[in-house]
Amino acid sequence: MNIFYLSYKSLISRPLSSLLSWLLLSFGVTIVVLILLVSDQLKSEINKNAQGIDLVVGAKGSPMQLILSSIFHADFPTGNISLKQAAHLSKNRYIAQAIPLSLGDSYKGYRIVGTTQTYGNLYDAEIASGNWFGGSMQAVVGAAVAEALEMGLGAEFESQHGLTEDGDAHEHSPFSVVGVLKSTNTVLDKLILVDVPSVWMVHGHDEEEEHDHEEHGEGLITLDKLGISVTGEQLEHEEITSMLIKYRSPMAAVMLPRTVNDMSDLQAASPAYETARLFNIIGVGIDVMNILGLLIIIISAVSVFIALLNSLKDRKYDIAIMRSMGATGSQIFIHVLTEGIIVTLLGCASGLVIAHGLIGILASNLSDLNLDWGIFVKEEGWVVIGCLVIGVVSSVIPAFLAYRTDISKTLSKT
Amino acid sequence: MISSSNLSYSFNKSVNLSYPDWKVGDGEHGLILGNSGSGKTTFLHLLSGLLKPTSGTVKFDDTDITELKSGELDVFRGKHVGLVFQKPHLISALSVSDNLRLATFLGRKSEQDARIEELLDSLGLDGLGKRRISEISQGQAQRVSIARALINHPKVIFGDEPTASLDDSSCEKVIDILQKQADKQGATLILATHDHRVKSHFSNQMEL
Repeated sequence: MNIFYLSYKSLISRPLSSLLSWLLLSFGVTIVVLILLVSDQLKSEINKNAQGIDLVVGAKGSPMQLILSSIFHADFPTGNISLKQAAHLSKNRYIAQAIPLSLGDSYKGYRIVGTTQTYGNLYDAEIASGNWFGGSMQAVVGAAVAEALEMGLGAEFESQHGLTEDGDAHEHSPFSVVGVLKSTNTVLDKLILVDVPSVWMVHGHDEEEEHDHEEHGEGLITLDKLGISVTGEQLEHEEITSMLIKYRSPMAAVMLPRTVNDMSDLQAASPAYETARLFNIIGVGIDVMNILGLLIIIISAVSVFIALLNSLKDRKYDIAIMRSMGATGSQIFIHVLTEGIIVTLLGCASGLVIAHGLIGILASNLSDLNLDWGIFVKEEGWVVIGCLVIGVVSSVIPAFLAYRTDISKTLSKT
Repeated sequence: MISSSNLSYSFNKSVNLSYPDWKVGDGEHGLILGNSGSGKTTFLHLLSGLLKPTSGTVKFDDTDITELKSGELDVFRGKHVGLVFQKPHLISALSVSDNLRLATFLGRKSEQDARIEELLDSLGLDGLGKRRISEISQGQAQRVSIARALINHPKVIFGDEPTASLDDSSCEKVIDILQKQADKQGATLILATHDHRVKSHFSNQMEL
């Protein structure tokens, strides 16, 4: 027998009102913690995907769209830029590295990206089996793609025009899988990587194919910073979608965007700036949900308060009896306070468990988000402390009233 | 054992109760008789330390309980006083034996399951320890409340109208149990009642 046991027994002797307080609090905590976890993991995922990319250069349009399509592969590309312009820009002394991206095709909903191996290096990609592409019409697939489409080495597929599953297939130009990547928990897992010339080839015209035969390795122009070699013909006529640029010096952050934006067909978008803008937009929704969660937590505090206050009416005699048996006023105070704290801490704990459980469920249903239920954020500690404070605040008045119970007066009334 | 002198208590300016001096010796039992409104419950509360008198003293052997601070008085009550009321007033959230354990906990005595068993047995409550309060009869509940008053080996057991709501045979039984258990433990029994059926059992009587 101790005060905690007494409080616990007292709580379960009023199961319905205790249940209500507990449910409300655990619901409120679930909402708040869920938002904390999702926004934290979203932020870290966005940062992970944007790592090492200082600037994205692509066709004029919405800078946010350029970032979304080129880094997160979420929106449609803004259009194409000419290879010649891209090659010219890449020679700029502020640029350390420019990874070319050629977008626009997909296979069964997974985007095909014409790029170089450097793109994989950006995310520390490692080959699980096979090799990186070494020539045309060879593809390296991300871990999630390989798993979802059950594509192993040697599998062949035809790309579809457009980014939706109902695009027309580019017939007669099958890709073959030469490599499968290990999972990186980045956007790379959901991509099919091919080399840039392959994308041109799929969209290519007959004449160019003829040209290809003529060139045969001679007269190839190497574009150092882009990491590709092209024919003069290709340099003149082909296009890519965008370039992921890494600065050579901090000065570049000042100079380069201006240089790019002065060119009539190109625009430069900063991942840092655009993702910050994106968070501002999402932030409003997050705030609304947080306020909702906090409101529910406050309602639960009121419910704990009312439940305790109501129970005091019935327990007045119990309390007087306990006092007559030797309980001090402070023991009674702690007894009632403990009840409030038990309910709020239980609600808090179950809210945390439910929130993490929901993240687990979301993670297995939403393959677009890399969520992990096992990640805890430090704000959760504040949630626990907040619940403790709510438990104390909502039960301190009932506890004080119980403390003040007049033993003799109460016991005189039968 | 227990004695009071010059005891008085004021509810407010107009209502003032004063009591004659009274003494109940070791091993003796005392009866406070009076009609309702005569102030016998107040007298009992003053004697048992539930209420602080406006003036006067209450002594348990050599301890003047009116001198104790409120926290000390709580502890003293828990250790040395047992109380039985007209209704059992058990804590319904707890089982029968947990009600007894609560008394040992609040009386700062160590828990003894054997003692609980023994008490329940001697009051004809054997096997009811795990029952909820709502699962036992009113008479059983009354006996549990007696067990609760006895469990800490108090020096004095106070009863406030413990027989008022009982029929003649139950009344006899309860008085018998209280006296026998008090004698067994060497405790003093003091009852406050308007029930004249009880009168013949007590030699030391105080009429209010």
